[in-house]
Amino acid sequence: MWKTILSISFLVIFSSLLYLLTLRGVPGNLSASYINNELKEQAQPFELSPERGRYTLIMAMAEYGSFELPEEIALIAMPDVGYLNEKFYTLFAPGVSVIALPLYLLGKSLGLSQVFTYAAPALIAVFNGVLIYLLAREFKAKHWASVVSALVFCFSTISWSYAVTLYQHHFTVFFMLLALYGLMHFKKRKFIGYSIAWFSYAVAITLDSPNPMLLLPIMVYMLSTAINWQLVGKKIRFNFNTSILFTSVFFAVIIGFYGYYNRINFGGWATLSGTMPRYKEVLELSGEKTAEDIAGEKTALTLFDARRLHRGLYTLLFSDDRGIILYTPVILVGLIGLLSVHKKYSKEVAVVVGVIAMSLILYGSFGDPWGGWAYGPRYLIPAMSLVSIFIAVALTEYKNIWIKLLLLLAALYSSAIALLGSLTTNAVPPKVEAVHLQIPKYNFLLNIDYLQNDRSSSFMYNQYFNQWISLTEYYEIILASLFIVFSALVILLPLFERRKS
Amino acid sequence: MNLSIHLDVKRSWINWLHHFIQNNAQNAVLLGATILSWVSWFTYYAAGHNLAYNDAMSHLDIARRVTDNITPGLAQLGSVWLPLLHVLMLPTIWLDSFWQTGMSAGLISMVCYITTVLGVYKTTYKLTSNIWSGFLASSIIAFSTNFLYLQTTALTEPLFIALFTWTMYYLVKWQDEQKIGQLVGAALMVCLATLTRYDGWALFGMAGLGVFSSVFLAKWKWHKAEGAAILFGTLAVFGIVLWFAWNLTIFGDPLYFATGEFSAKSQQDLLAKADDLPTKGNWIVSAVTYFYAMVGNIGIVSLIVGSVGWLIYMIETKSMQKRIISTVFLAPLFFNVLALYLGHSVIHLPEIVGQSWFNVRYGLIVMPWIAVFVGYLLSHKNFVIRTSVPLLIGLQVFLFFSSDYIITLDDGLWGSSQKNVKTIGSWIHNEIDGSDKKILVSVASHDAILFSTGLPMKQFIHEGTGELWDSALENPTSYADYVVMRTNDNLDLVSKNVEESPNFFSNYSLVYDDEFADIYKKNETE
Repeated sequence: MWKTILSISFLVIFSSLLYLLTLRGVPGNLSASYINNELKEQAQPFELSPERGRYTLIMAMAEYGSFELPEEIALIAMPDVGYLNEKFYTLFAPGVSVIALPLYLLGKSLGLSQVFTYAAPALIAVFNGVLIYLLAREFKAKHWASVVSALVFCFSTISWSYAVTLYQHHFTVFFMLLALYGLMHFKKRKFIGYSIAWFSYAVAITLDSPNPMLLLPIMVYMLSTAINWQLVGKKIRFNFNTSILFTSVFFAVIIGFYGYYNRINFGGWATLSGTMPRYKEVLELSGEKTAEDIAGEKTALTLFDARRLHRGLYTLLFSDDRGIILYTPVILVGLIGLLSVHKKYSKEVAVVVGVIAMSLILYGSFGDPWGGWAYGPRYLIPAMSLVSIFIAVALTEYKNIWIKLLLLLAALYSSAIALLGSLTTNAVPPKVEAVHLQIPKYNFLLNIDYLQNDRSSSFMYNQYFNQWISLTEYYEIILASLFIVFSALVILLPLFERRKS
Repeated sequence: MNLSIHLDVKRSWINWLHHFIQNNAQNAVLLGATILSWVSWFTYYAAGHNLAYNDAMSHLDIARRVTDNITPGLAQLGSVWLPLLHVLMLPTIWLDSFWQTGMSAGLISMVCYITTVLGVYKTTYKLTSNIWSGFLASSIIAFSTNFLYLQTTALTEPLFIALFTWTMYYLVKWQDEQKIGQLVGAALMVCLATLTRYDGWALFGMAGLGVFSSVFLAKWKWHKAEGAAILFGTLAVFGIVLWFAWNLTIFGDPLYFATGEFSAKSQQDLLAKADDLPTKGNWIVSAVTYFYAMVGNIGIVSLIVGSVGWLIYMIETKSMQKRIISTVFLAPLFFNVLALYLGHSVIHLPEIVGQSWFNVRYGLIVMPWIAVFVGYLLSHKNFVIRTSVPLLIGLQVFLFFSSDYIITLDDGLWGSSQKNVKTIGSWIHNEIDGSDKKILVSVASHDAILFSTGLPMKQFIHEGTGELWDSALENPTSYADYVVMRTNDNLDLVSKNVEESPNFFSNYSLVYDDEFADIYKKNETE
């Protein structure tokens, strides 16, 4: 028990510290015009449309009590803002904005509205680390190995870049891991597990369009735990745990609210904000079609196209602008762990494989697998979180020093890449655009230039450290401390454990 | 608090259900495939898409000319394409409605689709003894958007895919049960395949080698292997021998199909001269091109899963004989890559040549092989594999439907395989219908126009009308009321010859022209 408390405490403190050091932001309660005029350049908090789009919805809710965006706020997100019935809307699902709203209000009272808002994903990322630790423990991984898993996900993957700004990825990961943990941990008290799973699934749907499909394997797993059969004499008895039905009320309520939000704002219960016509498209209409006509043409299904799948898979896995192999090779160690337990935990491994497959296929067939201007394969962050759980399993199963050295080397490289993005910018163009715009660099090599030129988005660095040390030194200190922690966990703690036993 | 409810079911009922499904699985597959086939046919027929392909119209015309021609007869089957599809159309092609709607070939393609679905089910079930594996494998075929489209068309691919599938089935059965009847069945399928597409010739070669080596390595007796190979080979090669004999008899050269002026090679040589054959002489480009063709038709996920299934089968199967036979199924893959490399085939895809499609349907031919080994994975002992495979395939199929991705239809509507000659065809029909006027035209260049006119073939003077064709080229005025050609195009045999004819342009006036052809009408004599 004390090992668990100690591990979680360490995780929370260490993660919070690193996220604090890299959190993006500027002080003050920012006005719409200030954001629009001063903060939309690269290496600034509102450099890209996903964070702008979500932040505008928060501002609209907080300042105007409305889901539609007043024009001055809509300008922040232009041209990626929806336009329908002469009103502006964010194109992003509302879940992230709703969750971050309390922190915005808290920050506003302290004169740090944007910083506190951006702390929401960081806080969720800390919880994700804890969930990964707990899930690794469910697979009987050792405490130190489980901590390593959590740290690898948080700080050796590109999820770091998206923990310090307002994107949906960590929120999706949180509810996905929470659902899985609820089902695995509460096997004897299924009512609790089902409640957590239904609740998590419903909230995840409000965060991002692909989430209903992405989390579907977990829900199928839930269903499989509700049904079993046994031989009773000459009969077969099928048992069905009805608490899975009763607990679905959580799902129904949240989805009901979400559907109502869609109905009121976009005209249909299942009409998503992402299918709204962009303001730019409306301006270009020649009169033959109206904005409402365009809205009717788009559905969630039109976002995915089989024609693009093979290119998308290549982009996400192997390309030199977004490939996971290039950005986060440490994840491959997790695959070793996955293979080692696939017989003992076949159902759970099948769930993980299912979610990974969903991620790859859905986002591979998405119109934009690059994620726009982005840092690394951000759409694979949920898959990375699941695979990283099994790094702990690999470290526990294989006590071979070579596996540990492989992990350390891979973690060092991956952390160096991850920290580079989180400290500088996510606005890295896809290769196709970079070539077209004659930008010579289209991956983390661009971020090295930012590092060397002291261009950082970090609130702490810009406010407190930039007078004393260069950004490169700041980077090196954080990376060194991370590497020391990894080394201690992977090399020293096992030795200590072995001596004790 | 116990919130469980239970349902007690008699084991005898479950057993009954199990046997019911087992006994009726094939019927269910047949019924499902039949329904899908007809729904698909009506859908594409209503849109006119079943006749989108230039080649489809040509195939229908070739069969039609056997019965409806100035010089009808079997010689009209020609040498451009292998003859089986045309021969199968003969019982119905003489009916105008069957010809013009494409139903004459549509019926054949639909039967091929249904039998392919069934054949894949049976092959997979034979390999795995698992009906669910069979269902999954047959579903990949049944729900293939590209096959559902192609099975409405007058193209040779559906027929070949069916014959290839049943070759697989008989060989799999034979490798297990070693009955002569099964070997004969496989040989018959290969024989018919060699009369359908040249891919069948590669299938013949690999299957023959496979039969010989699988028996030899299993029994280490040369004479047994030789006996099996001879039994298989003599029947299987009959189609090839027949084709050589046909070419010798009709055209005086057994290799006329390969070297003649209308052969695929001649066409490819023209493309090579225009630097439009990027695969020729380049293995990597050839392999990559065919890879993208397979991806476009089957989907990257199905392709990877099926390939992995095949590899796992090869590793886990202890029988060398089974391994050899399962390698035979790669024959169409090897053939197509080789044909691209040699420059005997051409495929255009957006990934290779930019926004252009041509012959993309060739990538569909390997689908039965992929489907069978996807089904094999569903019966694997590993739980993760068993649960992942239906999810992956389900997603792939769902994506094809949700994004309306039918690359073979794209080729037929917008690619180089299409030829929308309805306008010129209607013009000719309206101008000439009801009269006995004769039209001089080259079918090698304008067969689609002939089809689209809907006029009896008797009204056309073309390459297949023997001496009349030669005479008409020399002196068109005496034979032809109309001349259809692409003016100043040396590749158009009519244009190439009649423009040398004296006074052609004074005897004929241009009455219609569009991107496909010009039409000249003989001037009225006073």
